[in-house]
Amino acid sequence: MQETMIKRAKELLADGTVSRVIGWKKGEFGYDSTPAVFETAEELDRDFVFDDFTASNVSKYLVKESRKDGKILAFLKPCDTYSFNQLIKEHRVIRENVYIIGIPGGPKLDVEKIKAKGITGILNKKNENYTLKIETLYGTETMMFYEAICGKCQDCKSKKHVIYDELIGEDGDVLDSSRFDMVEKLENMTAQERFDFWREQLSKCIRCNACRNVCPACTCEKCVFDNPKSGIENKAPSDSFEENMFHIIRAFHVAGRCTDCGECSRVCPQNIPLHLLNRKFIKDINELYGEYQAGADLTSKSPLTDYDTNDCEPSIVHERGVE
Amino acid sequence: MLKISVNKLDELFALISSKQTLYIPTDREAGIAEYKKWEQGMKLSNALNTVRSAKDFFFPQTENLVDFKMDGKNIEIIDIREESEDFVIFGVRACDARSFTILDKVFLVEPVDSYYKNRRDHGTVVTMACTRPAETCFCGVFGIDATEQAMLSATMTVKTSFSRLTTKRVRSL
Repeated sequence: MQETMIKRAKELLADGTVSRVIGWKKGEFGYDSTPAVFETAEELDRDFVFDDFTASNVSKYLVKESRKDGKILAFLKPCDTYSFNQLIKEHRVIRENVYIIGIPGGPKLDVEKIKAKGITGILNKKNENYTLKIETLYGTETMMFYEAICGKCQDCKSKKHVIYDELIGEDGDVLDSSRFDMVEKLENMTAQERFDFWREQLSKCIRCNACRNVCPACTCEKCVFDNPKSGIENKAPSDSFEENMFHIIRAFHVAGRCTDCGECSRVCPQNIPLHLLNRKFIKDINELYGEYQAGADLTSKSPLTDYDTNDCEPSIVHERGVE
Repeated sequence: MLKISVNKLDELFALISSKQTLYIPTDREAGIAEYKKWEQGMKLSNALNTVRSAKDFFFPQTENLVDFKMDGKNIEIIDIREESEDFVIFGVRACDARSFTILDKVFLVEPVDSYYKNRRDHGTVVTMACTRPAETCFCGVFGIDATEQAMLSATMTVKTSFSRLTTKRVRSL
């Protein structure tokens, strides 16, 4: 697949359809790929990588990249295409400047899951019939492939590419995923249990802002948390409750626009399950305003910015908010 | 060089804790370690390092610098500084311990940061040598050696823990 992608990228560069390519390049270790822009065939041959560890969603980079001169080729996995559609709707990307090739989705692997098994000094891995042979500083270790699957891939909602100019590989279907199971579990807890759960999880936050920076829905040029006039500007609030509000405020700001790409949880260095917060919002929106998947198409309006007589009444806040 | 059996580590912690506040790296959940005030029953983490570094003890992310009261146009400035209590941080890694010497170069030269100095004067750092570095470790690149950085250093092998006293402060513990 990597070879096919490089070959196609080189063709498009050579015939002038695009002047740049955005994909992933190898980092210092085998698991360490990062999004990167390539401008020549040599760079592609030397650095381009697409493997089990390239889980990152490159859509957000296109906000800046599509505003530069020339057209850029982007390789988007199914989940990434939802983010891109949403960005088009919000006028954050210039569609004409991006040539999209839809590529197969996951499951992708998460090196943190490998480390959680106590495997350290990880250098590289080999996949032998769904058993991972991991090469480390201390010898070779093995574990099952499925145990290392990235959290967001475990609840995959769709293998369908919702936008592309061409496809490599097959298109898939929208899946019947179990992504709201954990949200339901949280809903069934008592208010105190749920409060304690979130206080505990969110207190781990170190305000690295990785979740905000990677989120395709968070594209404000001046984030409220960086704006002295907003009243909630802070880098590191003085008490943990104020700290927790960062996540709740951010969840509200992306509500109705979050495509559930799962990047927020994947990048969190403290393993905070942020996707659960955003999924709760999605679940509520589905129940209160009708089923809605952000980014599934280019025309539907977010329920929170569109009025319909079937919308719930404001009294719902009182009905649901009181235990 | 002093030796202590690993099973006696809890007794050592209890002893230190009876004289000064002791902080050790302990697991919050599997593999994620953080510094916490030692309490009976707390286990020393096996993690290579804590998620937030020991720098927090000397240079916290936020702190209250001063209080002030407004009375019309009059401002009354209230100095809230107080002498820090003595404390011990056990199990600091060499890389983090080296960072203290760099911070000292910034905060302990004129004008001296009294908040930092206060904590630094009252803190005793006990480092723990690393026996199983990760692929991302950089101590070698910066010429950091586990045993040089702190007032007291320790190495843990399966059965025993070795420690080397390097200053008088530790003898008083």
